[in-house]
Amino acid sequence: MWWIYRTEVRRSALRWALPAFVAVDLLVLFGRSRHWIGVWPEASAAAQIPAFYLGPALAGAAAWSAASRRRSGVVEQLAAAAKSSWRVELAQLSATLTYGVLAYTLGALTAAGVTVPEAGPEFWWPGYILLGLALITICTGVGHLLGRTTKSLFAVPVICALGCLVFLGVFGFAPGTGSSGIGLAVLSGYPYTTVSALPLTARLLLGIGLIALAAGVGSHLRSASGRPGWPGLPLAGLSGVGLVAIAVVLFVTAGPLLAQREVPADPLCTHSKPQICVWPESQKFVPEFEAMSARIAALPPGLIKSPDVFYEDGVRGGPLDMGRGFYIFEGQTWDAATSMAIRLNEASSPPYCDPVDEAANDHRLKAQLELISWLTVRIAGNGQPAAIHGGPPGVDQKAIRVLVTRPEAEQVAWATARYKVVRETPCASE
Amino acid sequence: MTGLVQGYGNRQVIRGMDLALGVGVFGLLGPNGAGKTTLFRTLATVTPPHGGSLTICGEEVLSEASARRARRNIGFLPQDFAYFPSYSVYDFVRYCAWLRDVPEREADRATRLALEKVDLADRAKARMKSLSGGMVRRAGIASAIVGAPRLLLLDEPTVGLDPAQRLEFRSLIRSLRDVAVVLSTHLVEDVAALCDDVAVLTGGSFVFRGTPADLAGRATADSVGDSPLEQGYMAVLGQDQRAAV
Repeated sequence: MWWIYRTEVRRSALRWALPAFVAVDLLVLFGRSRHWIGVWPEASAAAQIPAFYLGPALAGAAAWSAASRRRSGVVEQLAAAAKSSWRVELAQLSATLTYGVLAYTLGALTAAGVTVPEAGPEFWWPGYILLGLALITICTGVGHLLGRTTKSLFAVPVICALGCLVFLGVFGFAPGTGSSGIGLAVLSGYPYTTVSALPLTARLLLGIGLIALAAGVGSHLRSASGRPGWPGLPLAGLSGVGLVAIAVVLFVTAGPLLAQREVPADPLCTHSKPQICVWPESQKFVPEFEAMSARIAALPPGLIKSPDVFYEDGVRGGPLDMGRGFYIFEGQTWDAATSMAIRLNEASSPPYCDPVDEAANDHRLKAQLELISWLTVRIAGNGQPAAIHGGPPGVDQKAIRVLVTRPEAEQVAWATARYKVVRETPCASE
Repeated sequence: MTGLVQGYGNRQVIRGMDLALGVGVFGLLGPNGAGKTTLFRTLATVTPPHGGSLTICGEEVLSEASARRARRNIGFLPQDFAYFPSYSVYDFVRYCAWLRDVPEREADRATRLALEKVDLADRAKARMKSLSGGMVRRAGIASAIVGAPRLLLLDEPTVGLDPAQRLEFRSLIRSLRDVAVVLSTHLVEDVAALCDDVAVLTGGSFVFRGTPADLAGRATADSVGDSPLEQGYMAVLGQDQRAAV
């Protein structure tokens, strides 16, 4: 089998497409963002994202390769082969898959290469890497199957690639990452989530099943003349169908792809107070959080009260904190600063009550949102990043940016006036 | 094979044919549409027969599994021989050895030997698509003989070969030992030069079976043809057509 595999790889026309596959992978890896560099779960998820494009490309390539082999007309020799037909199919299919996996692996190694210098002593999170591999395998199997039904070297491969891309775009992403899809890909690798073993196994099994199915029934699709074959159970095809069926059942019953991680045994916390504790994987951000902690400590002490510790989401366990913790969105600590500002504002404000009327509610809300915006800019220590647009409704962000440049006394007076509004808003129960 | 019936759908192409082959060259002559290619595809176990039995190298072919076992002993050069254009000559012949389940440890040696026999050893690294028509045909013959099959099915093997190459082909076939060769051709000279046994197939059944000399002996005074064998062949065909009328 080794000789035929090497020969198919060596002679496959897809070898000319390898540079394009690698280029697509690296373009997606670095072109989309670079925030993942230095954070292993993010780097692993980022290394997996090119599979979203490589998969459809491989589906098209597999369809093209299968169709071109059929077009070559070597039907009689293949029909007269002593070798099992699934082996013949598998040899070609593995060559196609090899080029996809090679491009994907090069991309993943590159992601690891640029992450190592900045990150801790970990490596890839294999769940994300295997998820991308499963996606590539699934697409290749589908492409080969469709390619075997046709001699078309253009229409079917293109339809196959575009069909996969559209399907993945609409249904592909895991729920919770901005999509309600079936979870064949993820957009981010937050440290507090991990890829669950069973759903991942289902996806890998689906890929293997589709490859087995493509190999098992590909030869039957190849001889389109409708000739009856020799009696005998088509074991390879049935095995493929069986594997796909098992994978689909497992897929449906295995639960969500992403699960919350166990609480870290040794979270990283800032030395300065208030402490900011993050996942060990977020160690790249610790210096920035040290600075943020110092900025929180420097806020007007009589006016702003702070919790002793701020936690990154998931560090304390339990359900995700829903605003009690913070998360680092695409490498930006701006959102973390906003979450901390909300916590500071809560600690510094009187307990919540329903205002007496709508106007009082609006008035108090505006004051609170302005305070949160001011605190966010103070904690972040710089302006809002260009990638993040908007802010709390009704808040003049430009005015806030001017305010933080004013003398401390002026800012304290401004904040005191806002807290006065918050405190003095009459409650409905009073 | 015994009482073999073969066809497509409801159309019978071969009707109750009996044929036993041993070592030697068996020539198959017949007009277009006589059923030669269908017979070849049946002997190659590509298509299961509609009726009768097919036994190859002592094993009756009844299922896909037994067909695959039989194919290990069959070298097949189809009439419409095709190849992978991007493969080198060596790789393509080696691929055919792999298809025929020639053991891995013998496959490389068998490939080199086959290429030497068809005089393509020096073109082993050339791409298939770069070969001339005659060379492609020789590569096809190499792919059929690789691994020393016991039954060699050659459907129109000399099409595209120039006279010198045809002579080489004949000498190659003569050099084969312990193999039953079935040779389909339109060229009666090849039959005369190579075959120990010859049959004329028309309308799905044999209308003649004997030695080339016997076939030549069927010639009549009014037979057309440039050689006694051609005249005999035309006479047999003419008798069959008259009988049909």
